Amino acid sequence: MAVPKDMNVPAIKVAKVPPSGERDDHANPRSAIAMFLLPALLVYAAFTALPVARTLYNSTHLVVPNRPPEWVGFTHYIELWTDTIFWKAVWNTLTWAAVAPILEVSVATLLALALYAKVPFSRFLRVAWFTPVLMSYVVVGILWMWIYNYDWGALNTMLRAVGLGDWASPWLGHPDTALPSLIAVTTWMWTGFNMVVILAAMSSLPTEVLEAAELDNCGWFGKLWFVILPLIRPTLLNLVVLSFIGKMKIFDLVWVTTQGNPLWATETVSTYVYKRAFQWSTFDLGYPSTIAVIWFFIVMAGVLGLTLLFRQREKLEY
Amino acid sequence: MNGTRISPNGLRMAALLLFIAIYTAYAAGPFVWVAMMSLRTTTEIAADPYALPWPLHFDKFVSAWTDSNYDAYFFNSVGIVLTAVVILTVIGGMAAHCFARYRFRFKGLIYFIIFSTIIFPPQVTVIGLFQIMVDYGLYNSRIGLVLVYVSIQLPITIYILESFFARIPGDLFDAARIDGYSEWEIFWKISLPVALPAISTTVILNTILLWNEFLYAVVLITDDDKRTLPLGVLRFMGDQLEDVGMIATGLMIAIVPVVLIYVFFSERLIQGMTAGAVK
Amino acid sequence: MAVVELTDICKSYEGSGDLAVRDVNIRVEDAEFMVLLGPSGCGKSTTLRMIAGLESITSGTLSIDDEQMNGIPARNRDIAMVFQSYALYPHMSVRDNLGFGLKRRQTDRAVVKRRVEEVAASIGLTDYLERKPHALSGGQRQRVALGRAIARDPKVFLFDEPLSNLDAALRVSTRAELVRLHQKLSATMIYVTHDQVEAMTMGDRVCIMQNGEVAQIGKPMEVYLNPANTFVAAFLGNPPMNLMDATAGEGAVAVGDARITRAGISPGRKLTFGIRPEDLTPVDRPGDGILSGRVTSIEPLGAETLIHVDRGAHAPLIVRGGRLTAARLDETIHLAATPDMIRLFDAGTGRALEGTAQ
Repeated sequence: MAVPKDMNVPAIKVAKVPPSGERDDHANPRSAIAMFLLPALLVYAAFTALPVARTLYNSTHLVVPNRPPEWVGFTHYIELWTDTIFWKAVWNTLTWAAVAPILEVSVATLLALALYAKVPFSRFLRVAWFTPVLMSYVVVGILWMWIYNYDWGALNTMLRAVGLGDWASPWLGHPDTALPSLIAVTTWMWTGFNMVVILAAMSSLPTEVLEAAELDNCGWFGKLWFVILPLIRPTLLNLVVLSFIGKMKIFDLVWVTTQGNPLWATETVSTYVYKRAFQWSTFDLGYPSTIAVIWFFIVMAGVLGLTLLFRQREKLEY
Repeated sequence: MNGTRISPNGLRMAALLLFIAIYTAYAAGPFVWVAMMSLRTTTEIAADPYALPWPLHFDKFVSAWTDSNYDAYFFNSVGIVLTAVVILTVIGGMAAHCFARYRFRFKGLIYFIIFSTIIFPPQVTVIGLFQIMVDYGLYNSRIGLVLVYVSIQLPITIYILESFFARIPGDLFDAARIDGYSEWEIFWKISLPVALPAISTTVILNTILLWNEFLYAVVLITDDDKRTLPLGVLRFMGDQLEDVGMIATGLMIAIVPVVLIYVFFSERLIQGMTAGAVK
Repeated sequence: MAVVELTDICKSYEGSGDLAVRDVNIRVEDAEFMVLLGPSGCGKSTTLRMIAGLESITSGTLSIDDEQMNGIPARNRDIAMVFQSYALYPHMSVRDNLGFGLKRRQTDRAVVKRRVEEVAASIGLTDYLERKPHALSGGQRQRVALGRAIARDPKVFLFDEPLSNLDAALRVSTRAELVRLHQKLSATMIYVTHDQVEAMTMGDRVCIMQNGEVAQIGKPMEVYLNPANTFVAAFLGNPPMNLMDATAGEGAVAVGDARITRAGISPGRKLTFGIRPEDLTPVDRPGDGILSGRVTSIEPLGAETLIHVDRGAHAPLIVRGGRLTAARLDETIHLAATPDMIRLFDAGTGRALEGTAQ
């Protein structure tokens, strides 16, 4: 091989590589990505992001029709602090969001176990238990108002028929029983959903681990307590969080049945916001926006708290 | 294979069956009652709310349909929900395909932002949405409601579709690229057809959730002839306050389509509604 | 003391009329290591699971120490099982996994703790007691599964193909460990596998199963040298026994072009002639041997050579030659068979003829 005259000149010609900024990544073409993503992002921006920003903006303004919004700083937030109705609504909603998940998930676990243990007619039962989930809250509300009716409703009729007529009462009309009655309705609706999810989780457990537990002298309760429940814990947590979120935003059911009566016993944050924004003659959208903003943070905190409290340290593989 | 699942013996089985019987009465009882009442007149019901329907007044269904604008409500719901679901499937599918197939800056961030809205309480969107819809001129319009419906179901649709799209082996796309297909053609001819099971799941899920949606409809629609079925049923109830028989019939009209979808598509439906909840 | 006896055991599944397991009769003596061997689907795992109580017995009796076990649930049979996939409790530490079965039967915490630590030391996992299964290697998980069974101190140990998920080197060392364990504990062990090397090296006796039935039970060498039928003959040994068609003549058996003296078989009867690769020796002169053919391939394995011989219209042969062999590719080779090692089987049923050793 001949020695090149100039050692600094490369022996062969190399094509010039353009700087990385100009190179288009053929595996991830920008134009295609934009085309696919843009419609969804536009809808999201216009109908989700913007409204949230607007609500946030409202919360620090006095927003009245036919007048430009007026800056009021944190006046609304301070007003909120002394609003007894708001606090009652918060109390109701939090009670609902605390009690309902416990009820819904525990009853659902028992039901799922029943199907897992192969009771007869399991296909029919699955349908019967799941159907309430599919109903509109309007339908559900009207139906249960009839069931709770003092004179001819199913509940009171049954109580009178078995001689417990003293217990018959205007369930939705009495401040002490109204909220629990509504909680019974949401439990009726959502337990079936939880049951299906839990059953799916149970069915996906490795059968050999259950067989090993059998040989280790575990009866049905031992298997449930030591093996099944610990292994479906992540699913149970998910369902509790989902239920919690659902109850924190509940509106439809209350609106159709009691609208928050009697005496704010069933008032929820949602219904209160709706009333302040669209019904009461104050016409100020700023105040309910404030409520919405505060509530948003409370919900987020709740979800975070629940997840941290019950999360598993490591992911179980099986 | 006994002994490995749970097999409670005699007494425990009896207790379990009792519990199941009570719960089933609790869960299914209301439906049976409303179905019976829908076929009886109000006078019959007032006399004995719990008797079996005889004679079967099927004509009530006809009169509910024609006399009280019920047909308008029904068709509004059908139109709005159908349109929303079609749009959701297309743009949701496009976005899901994009998340599953490509890498780009901020992808994680964007996905997180879109997905986190599932947790938002609607109160925080509803007020601002009301104002914006008025500003856009979309207040009290069916098109406006369609767009809002698309936006509320977009996150869950993208979530379900993305996890399915991601399972399609990348080699399929590379082969298509080499064969000369453009990115758009790849989406239509490969991603969508292969993901048909997941798409049918989201279609069923969205249809049922939007069919029953109430809050946004009640805030954004005020004209009676633009009302969707849930609103219609409520108004119906307001009008007919004491006509229990007619209201029951109206309720059955709202219930039956949903139950039919369930009967025919129960597996898909359950898969869709429980997606992401099983971990 | 644990004698396991299966009498006329049959198993059929609901909805299917076929018997998955048929007329199985096995007696496992106390402290014996019995291997259930066979290809997939032969019913060995089903039989094991019936002994464990994880499958119900359709008909027949199972007894352990003369006590009938048919109706007794699995957890009351005092049996421990090592599963193919180990089946460790994923959410429990190694310590809890080892102690779980024990805790269910024994309430004294100190006793449990001591035993767990003893067992952990004997399987070499003392440093891993607080880990969870997903943080262990495959071999370590297998040892935990083993330890769990040992800690229980049961009457009978059952193994369902425990080595099949391990890599080759680990399999060899674990095999030896299991044999040592058996000697140390003197416990009755029933072991299911499809690997004949495991069966030959580990078992006191081997039970070979075929299509849900027992083909033969006996000590490994017995079964190897005197297989009861052609299935067993071909299953054991690698490469397997050479089998070919033969016909009985007057006082002799005709195999290919050769004749072997053999009395007592009715003439005209169709037979299968069997001879193992290691019992064939190449000879120089055609007259000295009984079989011949063309060498189609020579595989030098280092310690020996495998010679493949094609016999035209007849079945091909494999011969084990020494480290160096005179055979050449495409040449004719003549083979002599060790007379004592010739085995004859009925061509129709596959069963070995009586008194085949000459």
